[in-house]
Formats: sequence, structure tokens, C-alpha cells
Amino acid sequence: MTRLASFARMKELMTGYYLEAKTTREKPVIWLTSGAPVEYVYAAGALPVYPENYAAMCAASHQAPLLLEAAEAQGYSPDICSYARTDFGQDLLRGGPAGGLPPPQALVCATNICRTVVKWFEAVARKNRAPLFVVDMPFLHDGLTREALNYVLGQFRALEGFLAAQTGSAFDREQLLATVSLSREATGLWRKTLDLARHRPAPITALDAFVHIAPIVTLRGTPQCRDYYRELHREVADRVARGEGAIPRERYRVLWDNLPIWHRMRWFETFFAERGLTLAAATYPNSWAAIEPPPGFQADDPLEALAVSYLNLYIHFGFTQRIDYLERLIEEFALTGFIMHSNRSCKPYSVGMYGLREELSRRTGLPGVVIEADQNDPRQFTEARTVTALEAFLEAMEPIDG
Amino acid sequence: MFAPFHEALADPPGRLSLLRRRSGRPLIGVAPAYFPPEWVHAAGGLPVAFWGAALPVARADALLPPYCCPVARSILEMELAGRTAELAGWVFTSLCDTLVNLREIFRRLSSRPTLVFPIPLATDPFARRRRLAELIPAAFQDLAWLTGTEVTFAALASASRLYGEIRNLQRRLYSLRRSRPGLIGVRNFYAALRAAFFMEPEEYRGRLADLLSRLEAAPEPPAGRRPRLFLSGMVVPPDEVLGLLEHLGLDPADDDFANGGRMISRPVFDPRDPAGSLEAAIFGGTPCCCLHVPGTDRAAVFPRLVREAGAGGVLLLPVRCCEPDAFERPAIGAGLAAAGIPALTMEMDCESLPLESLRTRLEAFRELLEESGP
Repeated sequence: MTRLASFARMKELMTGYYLEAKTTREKPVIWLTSGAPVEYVYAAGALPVYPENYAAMCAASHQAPLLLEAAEAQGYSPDICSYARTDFGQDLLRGGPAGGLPPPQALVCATNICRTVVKWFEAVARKNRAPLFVVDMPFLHDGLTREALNYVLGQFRALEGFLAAQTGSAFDREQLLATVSLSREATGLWRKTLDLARHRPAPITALDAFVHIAPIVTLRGTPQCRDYYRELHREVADRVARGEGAIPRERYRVLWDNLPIWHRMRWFETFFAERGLTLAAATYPNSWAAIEPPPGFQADDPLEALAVSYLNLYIHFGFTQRIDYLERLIEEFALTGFIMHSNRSCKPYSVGMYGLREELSRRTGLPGVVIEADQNDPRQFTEARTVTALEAFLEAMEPIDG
Repeated sequence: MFAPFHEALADPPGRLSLLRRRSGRPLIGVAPAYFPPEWVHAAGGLPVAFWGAALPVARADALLPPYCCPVARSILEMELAGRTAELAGWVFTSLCDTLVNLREIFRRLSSRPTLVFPIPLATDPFARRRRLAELIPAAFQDLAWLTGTEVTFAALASASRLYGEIRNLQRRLYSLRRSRPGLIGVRNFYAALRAAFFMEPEEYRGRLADLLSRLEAAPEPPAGRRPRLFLSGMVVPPDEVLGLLEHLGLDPADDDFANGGRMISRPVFDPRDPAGSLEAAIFGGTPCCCLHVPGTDRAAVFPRLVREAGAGGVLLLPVRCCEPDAFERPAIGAGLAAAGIPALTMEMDCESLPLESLRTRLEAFRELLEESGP
């Protein structure tokens, strides 16, 4: 796989971000979940810190096992989310690539990615005696409703007061609107970049997207984030112009559903590249790519549009909407099959996946495979079993070149 | 005295069939937890609550991964095995991530309607209250659609009275257990409590009132020093485990099970103050690991609950793969240790119970409690 040149810029950006997080004295550090409205935190002049992002970094750099064990030694069950356990471990050992995260002055957590984060953040809040603000986002069993949207907007308004209490300054609405505007530009560019994988050969794979996701998660709403995605988009678009694919010979175009297996990124990269398999689409990176709002919810008001974008997430959909969305991705990206990661640490993504796999195969006529693993815990990954499952999947899949 | 309660729990499919015939009401399955059963009753239905079952899971394996809790797996197994065929529909709450998705699985495999009641978790009290106020009429509408009977104020008032009386009787049962150690056997106690989920409420109220009168009039049990325990976990453990406690002379003084102590500590719904009373019915009372209640720290509250119960130790019985409970366990353990309260954790997996190993651990714990004295 050809590494994107923007990777170096991203590393620089993320290093700067973590350096500031570790050293800031002026800005209050607010811990956030990946689906929380960070625009409010940036607008308040606070510094958002994402333990999910840091946990992923720990796993990708193979530093998670020690941290997981440290958390388990403290009594945290291996049954709980491995991001949370990695986070508890980094706190105990000051471990991971940045030598641990700065403690939170306050925490903001949103339930649009899961309800588990509430328990996780409650534990961190308890330990640090820090206040926690939960933005509850009702699960969309039957699509978005006006009531759900108003409920979230009401909480956004209350969040302004919570943040003002943390910073000691009045919340600045003008600044919020400017931040939201930057955020929308960045998410738009991210979406355009991911959409370029519709081209054949795909110039970017989901494995690239998983890596380049870091700024859109952590820096959404900053000029640096927008600028970074402009650069990334330009580079990927240049590949399209040159007819250059992310892997040398694309034979299969496949969808990846669920979080990546961070501790096996390189292994998957090699395995897939050797077999000509491109992960041309994935549901997870799209969580920050502003999925098209449902009819009747194309709001002009930027804050309403923001709330819609936080509610309108794949992982937050009922299964009918999920299947429709997966089918659409398969069609739009001209895919030949799909891989579903049954992720022990992410129940919202994984519970029900076996049935979805069957239904999606029935509807599309394409083969799909479920692989059992965990986003951060390498002990839940069995290489031989995964290879067997993937080889059988490849056998069943029709290559694009016949 | 306890036979009718044990009977109610013995054969769920047979029981459902009997209940449907006898009551003439549509049976509505309620998946845990905190959905007010009085609402179902007011809508002309009969609520039957499912908190998991000790049964081997085979069919559900095709739809649920092994890392799902046995409560969800066994409820799905019952549905797939046709053991809940008598139900007219299901009601789910959004208590945890697994339940949220379980509802989605149910609605794809069953032709029967499934309703959902999303429990709001907002920190902001105004947002939460407003949300509850919106959800209540919607839930009544859904129930009316399911049962064909409109939910009226009069029906709600009557159902709330009935369930309020039951709640008070259950509290008396708890109080009796606490004040008169050894009077009620462990299995009998939980049968009398859990039978409420599989009986007509009018019958249950009568039988429980009768039981309490007889227990209150019963002579004092023989004096003896039995270690008193506080039991904690999401759900009452399987009968085999309760029998083990009884056999070993371990005497529960209180518990905080969501289908036990947590449930009875909460008020029932009051139609005169819908949002306020629903808020109290969900978020009031003994803290629950699945709820976010700003300003309440379950770990901090726990030692007080144990002391108030007069228990000398705590038996933590978490359900395997129950994430909300697992997140709080270290803090609860640390709080108990700091308060000098001995505790033993035994993970419950109703799909397979290693009874011999549980017995050995319980015996060692009993010895520890006996040595440490009251």
C-alpha cells in the first residue's frame, strides 16, 4: 500500500495537539467522547481531549496490552470496552505514546455512540472529582424525529452554561457559529475525500481512513483541521487524476463495518494488498463525514444542522436504516463483498450483526463475512481463525476483473 | 405457604398460556427494566416481565454473540424456541446498549409488535423532565395500539393503586426479612417476590397479603448465628444459587437487584404528576448501574446500604458481560474495603453455573464472616 504524503503532516498536527493538551495552563482540559459536540468546547476556549483517540493510538502502537492488564488488575472486567480499559490503564501507568493524558477539569459525554461511555466517564469523573455533562441522544429506532432533535438542542443550550462555569467566561455564541462553520467545512472535505474511493481503482482505502480520522475527531472546528483535510483531499484527488490506486492491483472492492482492529492494522494491510483487496468503503469513518440528513431535516440554522449531524449516525440507526445504508454504500462504491467485525468492545455496532450479515447478503447477492475480534484487545484476535474466514470469503467473492 | 409463588415461576410457557386464558387480557412481555407495569395494566394488558432464565442457549447463538449477557441471550432463546408464543407483543427500554439492539433483533424476527421506551439520561434536569413529559403520551398511544384499549386517567389511577399496594406489600416482605432473620428461606423469599412477574396482579396482591399475615404471626425462628449478607447485582441469581446460600446458612438481609431491592425502593407511577412521578419511578430509590443520576455516586452510597441492612458482608453477583455493572464494580469494591466490609464477587452465568466451585467459595466466605463476627 502506498502511504499518503499527508501522513507526515497529520503526525505533526497530532503531535502538536497532544503537546498542547499535556502542557496547557491557560485552557481548561475537557474530556470528550468522539460523538460529543466538540464545537462547543472549542468555542468556549477549552481544550478537548479524547480518550477514545488516545486508546486507539495505544493499540496501534502496540502499547495497549500492558495498559489493559493494569486496568484488569484494578478490578475492571475484561468484559468492558477495551478503549475504557486502555484509558484506565494509561491513567494508572501514565502509559501510551504521549505518556498518559492530562486529567480532566470536566467531562462531556454523548450517548450517540453508545451508553457505555456514560459509565466510563462516570468512573473518570469520580476519580478526578470532575463534573460530567451527559448529552443524551435518543437512539433512532425509526428515524429522526422533531422531538428527539428538540431534546438534543435543549441540552446543547444547557451545555453552554456548563462550559461557561468551567472556563469562568460567558459563552460566546458568535465564536460557536464560527467554529461550527469550520467544522462543517472539515467534515465536508472529509466526506469528499472518502467519496473519492468510488473511483476504480480506489485511491484511498478504509485502512487509510482509519489513520487519517484522528484530526476530524479531535480538531473538528479548528482552522488546522480544515486545512489538513484540504491538503488530504488534494492529494487523494491527484491520485484519481493519475489513475493511481491505493494498492497495486485492485481485484476486490470491499466494505468494512465496525471499528478497525487497531493492533492488527499492518497485518490487514499486507493481507489485503497481497490479495488485491481494497477496503473501498467503511461505516466508521463516515461517522464524522456528515451523512446526508433525512428529508425534512435539511436545516438552515447551523446549530440545528449540527444537532442533526450528531444524531444522524450509522451506529445510532435502527437496523432497517442500517441495512438500507449499507446497501447504498455497496451500490455507490461498486463493492464486491463486505467484512463485518464482530467487535467484543462495541455492542452497538456488533449486537445483531450476524442477522444483518445474512440480510445484506440476501439483498445484495454479495458474500459477507463476520470476523470475531476486538478493537484494542489483541487477546481476542485469533490469526488462524481470521485467515480461514477471510480466505473462504475471498473464494466466494467475484473479482471485478472476472 | 410459598407453593403458589413457586408454581408461578416453574413453567413459563405453561404459565403464559394459563394467564392468557384466565385473565382474558393480551399478555405483554416486558424486557428489563423500569417500564411501569401499571401502564400495561391500564391499557387492558397483562404485563409479564422477563429477567432472563437459566436455560441452555442454542438458537440465540445464531443471532447474538457470546459476549452478550445471558439475560439478553436467554430472552431471545425463549422467543426463538416459541416459549413466549402467547405474548401479544413486547416492550423494551433502552437500559443498555445490548437491550437497544435486542429490540431491533426482535422486531426483525417477530411479527408481533415491539415497543420501546427510551430512558433519558440527560444531565440537564429540565431537558430530562421535558423529554419524559413527551414520552409518556407516546407510550400510552403505543400501548393502546397494541392492546386495543385506550389508556384513561381512571384506568391509570386504578392500576397505580393496585401496583402501589403490591409495592407496599413487597416492602413489608423485605422489612420482615431484615427484622426477623431466618424466618423466610432464601428461595422462598425470591419466589414470593418474582412471582409478581408471572401472576395476575389482583391474585398476587391477595396471595402476598395472606403470606405476610401468616409470616408476621409465625413464631420466631430458632435463634442461631447466621452470617447476614447484602446481595448485589443486576438480577436475582438463578434458583440453584439461592438454594446454595440457603443450604450454607447464609442469610440475605437485603439486596439491590434491579428486579428486587432497586425495584421496591422506587415509587409507582402517579397519573396526577406524570413526568414527576415517572422520574421518581425510574431515577429515585436505590441507585442503578444502568442509569445516570447526576449527583449520585452508587459506590459512595453502597456502604451505607449495607450498614442499614445490618449485613456483615456483601455478595456481589454480577451477570456475565453486563457492562454497566462491571464499570462500577472496582469503585464499589474499593468503597467496601475502605469501610471494612468484607465482600465476595461471584460472576453469574445462567447458561452454565459451576455450582461446586461456587459452593467452595461461599463456604470460605462464610468462615471469614463467622470469624469477623457481627
